[in-house]
Amino acid sequence: MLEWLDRFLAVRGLAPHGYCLLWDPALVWTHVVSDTLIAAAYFSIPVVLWRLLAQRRDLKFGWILGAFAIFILSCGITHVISIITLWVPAYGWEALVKIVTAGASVVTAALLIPLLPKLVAIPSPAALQQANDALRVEAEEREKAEAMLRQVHKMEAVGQLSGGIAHDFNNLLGVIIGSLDRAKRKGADTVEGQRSIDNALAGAERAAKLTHQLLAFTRRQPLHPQPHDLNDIAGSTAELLAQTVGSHIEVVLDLSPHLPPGLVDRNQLENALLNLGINARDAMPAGGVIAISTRVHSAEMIELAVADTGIGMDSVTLQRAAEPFFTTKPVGKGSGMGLSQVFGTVEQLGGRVELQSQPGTGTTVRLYMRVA
Amino acid sequence: MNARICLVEDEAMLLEMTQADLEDLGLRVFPAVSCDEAWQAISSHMQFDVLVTDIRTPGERDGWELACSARALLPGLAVVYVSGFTAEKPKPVPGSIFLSKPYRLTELEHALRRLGVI
Repeated sequence: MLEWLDRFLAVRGLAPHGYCLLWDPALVWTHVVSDTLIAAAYFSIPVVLWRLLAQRRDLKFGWILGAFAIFILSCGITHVISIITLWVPAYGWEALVKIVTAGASVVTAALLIPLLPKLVAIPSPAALQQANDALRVEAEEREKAEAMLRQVHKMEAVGQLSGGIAHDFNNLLGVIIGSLDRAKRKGADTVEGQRSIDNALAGAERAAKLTHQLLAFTRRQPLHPQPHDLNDIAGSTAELLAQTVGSHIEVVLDLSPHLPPGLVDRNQLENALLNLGINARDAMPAGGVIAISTRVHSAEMIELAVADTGIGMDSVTLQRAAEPFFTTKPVGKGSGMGLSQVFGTVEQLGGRVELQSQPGTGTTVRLYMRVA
Repeated sequence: MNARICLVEDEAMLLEMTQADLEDLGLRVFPAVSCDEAWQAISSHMQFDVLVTDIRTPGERDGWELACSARALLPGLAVVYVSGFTAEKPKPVPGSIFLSKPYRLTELEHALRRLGVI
């Protein structure tokens, strides 16, 4: 076999190609120049393809470009051999290179044909742009829907408090109506009448404050994390909770005086705290204490905690507590979205939530928020 | 003999005002800020002809429970419930009247008349 190959490749007594051209300089040099140019061009193409593949590793069907590079490279070599065979009759070598070229070209062509439909299916830049635009529109729509959902959740939280609000409001209306009734009976210019009118005014002012707080709370605000005083947020939420959770529950504040500003969305954080307050209220049907506290956790984090003295949760309930739609409240009382929304909001703001609960002792939810 | 009334209301301004109104009607008023406080008075054998009670007040028992227990001790006790909002199912004692807040004094007066207290 090797012997045969040796004989096949040996430069035997054949005439060089130039001899066929009768050594006509014009013909010989035309061949040399054009073969040189073709070979140079063929050799440059695999280099370009190799650089392309190296830099675009995500390219689909990259292997077909590899096969094409081998094919072009061997084509280039046949042209170099053509120049050599003008003077040296290395026809065996020429044949060998042609076999390689034939193999590479047939394989490349065979691979390319079944690939055609797949190549056609690759989206054009225009189609990609279109898909991109559609995706952007979808993202915008989703953002809008999410903003709406947040607002719905907030209204739901307010709705859950509305019983307490109705109760307080009706009490205050009772004070106003009863006091005016009384003033009318006693006469507005009597001492008793004047006192009743003062009472009516005090009741009306308290009612006005209640509606102001509610309106401030439900106002729609842009969703942008900004530096905020978390003590201020804790304080205003505590005030609203104290007015609405019922008089059987005491709301207390324990605020750290040296708190750096936190990077939060005020609206969302208030909503989260309100949700935690509602959960705390519902965990204490017989009354108790909701404690809202702040403290510096680390150089990067502020801790904001809502603790109750309620029924607590066992480990099974605790594990599932943050799941969307999971609720232990009776049908119609809770959506099961409160705590999962708190997790979502806090995580979105780069913070984290920790739950700690003991059946019969109470639950503490700690929010770790980023320092601005 | 003036009727003796136990008045339960956790809103201080409302309690004070209603007490004054009822005293103007000639009733003797025992004011309580919670159902628990009212129950302490009733269970320690204070005598009352009528109970006017809020439903939800701080403490263990609500107005429904208070009236129910009070009736057991004072079978002839007239009962008026008043509330601004209640989510629970009403559990009134027989022959009682429910007033929703805010109410006019004339409404309470009318209720007390219907119950034969004044």
